[in-house]
Amino acid sequence: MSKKKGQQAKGKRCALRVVLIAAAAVLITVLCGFFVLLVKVKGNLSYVYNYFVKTKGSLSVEYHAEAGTAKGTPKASPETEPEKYLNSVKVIVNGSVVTEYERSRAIEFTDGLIGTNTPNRGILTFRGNYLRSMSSFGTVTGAGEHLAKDWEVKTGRFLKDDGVNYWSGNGWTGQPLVVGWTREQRSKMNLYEEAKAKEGLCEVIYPGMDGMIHFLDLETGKATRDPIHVGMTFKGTCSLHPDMPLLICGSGDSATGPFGEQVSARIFVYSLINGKKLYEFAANDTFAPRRWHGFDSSPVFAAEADTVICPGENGVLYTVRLNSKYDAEAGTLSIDPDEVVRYVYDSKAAHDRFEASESDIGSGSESSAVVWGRFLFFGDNGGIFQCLDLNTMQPVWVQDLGEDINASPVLEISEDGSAAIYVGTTLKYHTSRYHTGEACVYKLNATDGRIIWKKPYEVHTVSGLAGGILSSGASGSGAAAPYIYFAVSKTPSVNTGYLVALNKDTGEEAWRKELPCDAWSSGCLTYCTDGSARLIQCCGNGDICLIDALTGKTLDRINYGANIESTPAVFGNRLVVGLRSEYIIGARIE
Amino acid sequence: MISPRGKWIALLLTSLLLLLLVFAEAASGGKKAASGPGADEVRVALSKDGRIPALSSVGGVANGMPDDSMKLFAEGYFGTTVPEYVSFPDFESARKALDCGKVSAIWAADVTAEYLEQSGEYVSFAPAETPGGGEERFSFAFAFAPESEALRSNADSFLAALKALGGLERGLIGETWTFPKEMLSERAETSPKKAGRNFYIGVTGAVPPLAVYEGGTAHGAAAEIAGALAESLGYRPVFVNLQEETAYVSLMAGRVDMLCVGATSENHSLTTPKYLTSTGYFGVKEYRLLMRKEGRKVSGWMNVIKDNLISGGAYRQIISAVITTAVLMLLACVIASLFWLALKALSESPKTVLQKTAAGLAYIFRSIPVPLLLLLLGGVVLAGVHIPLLIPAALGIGLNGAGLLYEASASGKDAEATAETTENDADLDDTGPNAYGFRQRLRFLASRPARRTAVTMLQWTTVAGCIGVRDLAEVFQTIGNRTMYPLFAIACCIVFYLLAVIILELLPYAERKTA
Repeated sequence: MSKKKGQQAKGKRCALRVVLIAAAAVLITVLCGFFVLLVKVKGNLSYVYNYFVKTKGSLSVEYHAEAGTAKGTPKASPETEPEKYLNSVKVIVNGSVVTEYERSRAIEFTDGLIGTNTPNRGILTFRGNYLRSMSSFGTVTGAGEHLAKDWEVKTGRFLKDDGVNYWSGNGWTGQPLVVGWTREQRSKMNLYEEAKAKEGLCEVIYPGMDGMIHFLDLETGKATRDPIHVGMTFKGTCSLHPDMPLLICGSGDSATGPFGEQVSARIFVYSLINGKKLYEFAANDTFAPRRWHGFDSSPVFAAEADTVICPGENGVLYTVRLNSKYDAEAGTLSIDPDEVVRYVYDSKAAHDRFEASESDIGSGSESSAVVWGRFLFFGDNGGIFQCLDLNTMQPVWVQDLGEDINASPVLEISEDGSAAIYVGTTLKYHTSRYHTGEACVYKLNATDGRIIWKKPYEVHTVSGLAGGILSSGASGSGAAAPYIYFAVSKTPSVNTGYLVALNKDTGEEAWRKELPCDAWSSGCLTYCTDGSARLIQCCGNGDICLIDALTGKTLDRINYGANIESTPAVFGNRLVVGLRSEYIIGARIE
Repeated sequence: MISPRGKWIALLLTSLLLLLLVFAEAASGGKKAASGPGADEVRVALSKDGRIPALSSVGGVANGMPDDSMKLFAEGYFGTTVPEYVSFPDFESARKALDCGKVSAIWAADVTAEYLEQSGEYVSFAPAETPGGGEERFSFAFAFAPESEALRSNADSFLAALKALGGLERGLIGETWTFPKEMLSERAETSPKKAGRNFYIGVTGAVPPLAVYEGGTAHGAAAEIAGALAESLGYRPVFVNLQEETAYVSLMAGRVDMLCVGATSENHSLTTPKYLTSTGYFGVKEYRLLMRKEGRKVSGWMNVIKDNLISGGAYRQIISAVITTAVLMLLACVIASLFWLALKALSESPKTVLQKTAAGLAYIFRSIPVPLLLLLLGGVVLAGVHIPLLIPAALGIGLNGAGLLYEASASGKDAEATAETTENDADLDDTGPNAYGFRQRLRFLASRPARRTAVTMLQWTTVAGCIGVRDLAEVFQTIGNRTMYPLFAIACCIVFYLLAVIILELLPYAERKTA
């Protein structure tokens, strides 16, 4: 009897143990699952919806036929009067606020095209020229149907201003410059002897997030000269003067140090004859409406006026007269900057958005500006896009696009004298409770700023990573002339994106491809000798895709296993781009 | 069980072994400087192509940034490759590590680099170009807790007056800095005797010569100014030695009223600092890499003994540390005994709750690692009380000891122990392990398990340095770093502790012999 009781008690204990172990296993599984979920949704449970639900993706185009009629010199329409959107405008000349300003040497761009018709030839600024329309240089010989890996060069990383994390490799927009120096130019520069002697040397100039400016031979990836150690990180794209070896690059983040100090980001001017710094400016600007200083925008050289134009993320647009002296024969270059002009504005519409979204107060420009005649067109983080008369520093027209403008605009001038601007937005302010909303591609009339068409996409924005359009449009020509190409991030699902060809006239999609990841990198259109158009798109998953621009068919794909935020420089049959994994890579189009 | 004679033989053998090691290393010339380029090679490379060549290792003051991040800072700022980065609690330790050859270079603010170069032993290098060039990167300033706006305002006024008299423009480099004459008379009027409460000023020793804490007090220009500021406000300045890494935490916790060497950045910041800073009193333009002009070697065992035990006031430090450690041990033993008695009393209460509470507390005391107890008590709980650090250190070690004693007594070892010492005692109330009188408890404290606990507590005194107590281990480590010969210093420390353990264990034996 007692033995039976003992067995029963033993059985009960055994069952209890099994139940306890099972309960512990369930608890551990639930906790692990919860942790995995937290990791997946980037530590914020409010993003759960975004990781399991797709948006509508592509939405219907809004078309305004009447907006496309204005032509000629830019002037405001009733809808785009600057007073409607800007509360105040301030012009500061050499540190003093002025009520009126007239530039001593007028700026007038004939066409904004550089790199093909200037002494320095190549990709000299973001998207090749100041219309941001030359997404590649030269043509592809051969079929242009395959990509081949060629070389890679290790770069590095740089401490972020939080004193813990770091920037690595090359980032957004991060397009390398590629320039073909003449023999005379090479002989005067601090190039290595091998590079000096190399006929047809195409030099890659690439400021990186490691705080260095790298110089490489496009063909081999070998260093052509010592890198310049700057000591601040570069995310955006630098610019090379069209006539002289003068490089300007803006750092994208402040630097920190052992005592927690914040060293303000700034813009640097370097001589490429000897690699010496000639000037730096825009640091810790007391006139800036925004505490955040960053200079991702690719500067514009107004060569004839000897002036450089730099929009800043601190909310100040700078123009600096360089007073440059370049003696090509002697190999000397100097500048003596004066007439530093700041343009600062205040927009109530943007302020309301910042306050509603609890964002950092103040607008600034991360995108690069475009030029037409004496006018500069640029957008900001508050959604304000404007046309500015560079000679009076007064706004001509202002359009409110309502969302963060990260992508650089593309300007297209038609033969009939009309001009259009294509620009995209990212979702930052008008998000639903589920962190979704619209990001749009716009076609604006460059004359009066009115919206000709608007193509919206429903996208996700999570963990501070905005969905929408971070890539600049690639405007087609030749066979691809009817289309403009954009990459749209975080649509329809949070980890995917679209690559779309939009009809320039209507905004309707000619084709659309779903990408398995974000694509911040801008697509590059290049053309084969037979006239066929190819689109090269770098993606967040390390893919570089070669696509038939007319059909959207993927011809080839190579993968580098690391995020590519930067925009590649496509130079003939060669391509060079930096990865976040601390490599600059070279590839061939065959 | 080792016999008393065996213990002495073990100590002798250990000492001999350690001495052999010391002699062997001294004969071979000791540790050479860290590998990698020397100062001359760096100078040549800089003049040739403007770049600092790859360094084998760089060190510096721990400042709250992870070593990996500081490595990135060093690489990004100096434009070179740094395979290894090592942090040190203060600049003096970093400099000693450079002297020892533990690191090939250390970073320093320009003021520190210039000051140390004056000795002729060091040479410093800055990168060819840095952002800002001749601009000030930041300024050193006084730092205050967020609620001390009035203090900050007073400090600003004081510094403004000093600046107006030119007091911040001269003589800041170097340790001998004096106030402008105009302010000296004013300072004399505010006698410390008239002063009110103590004003605690945190000094980190991260930026010599601006503020250096040595021999229980602070000196240097910034310390002078800070002291004068406190006096001008009617307070009595008291300098508190802090580590740079935890200085701001100490400020927030109320351990100090002001930090002597904070940093203020005129440049923008994304985040608003959680503390206040005065206007800057000294600007820093750049950082430099500090290297030894020539590598040094250990030479001769007589020099080793002289350097480690005699010269530079080493013997004074050692004697002071022996006393500190002994006092610490004594205090810890008293605290452990008192807490154990209290726990024991609770455990014998008829109420189960109190019994469980006693058992729980004892479990907590013995389970929490002693360094954590020290940090908790010294750095947080008692941070604002301004008592000597020996107290929290003794409390931490004592609590752990009480836990261990309770465990030993509760596991029946007490009965065994009391039996060992009171075999013939007629008063023994042998009714169970938890039921015995006060005399038995005292006897238990003299028993073998209690002696073992005391030895454990003695060993834990070696971690008292983690909250700033200058115990024996801490002092020998400092001496070892200073003399570039840590092996000898560690060996000496080991011998000291072995000796202490033997004495502790042989006390009852000696007592019986003399009885």
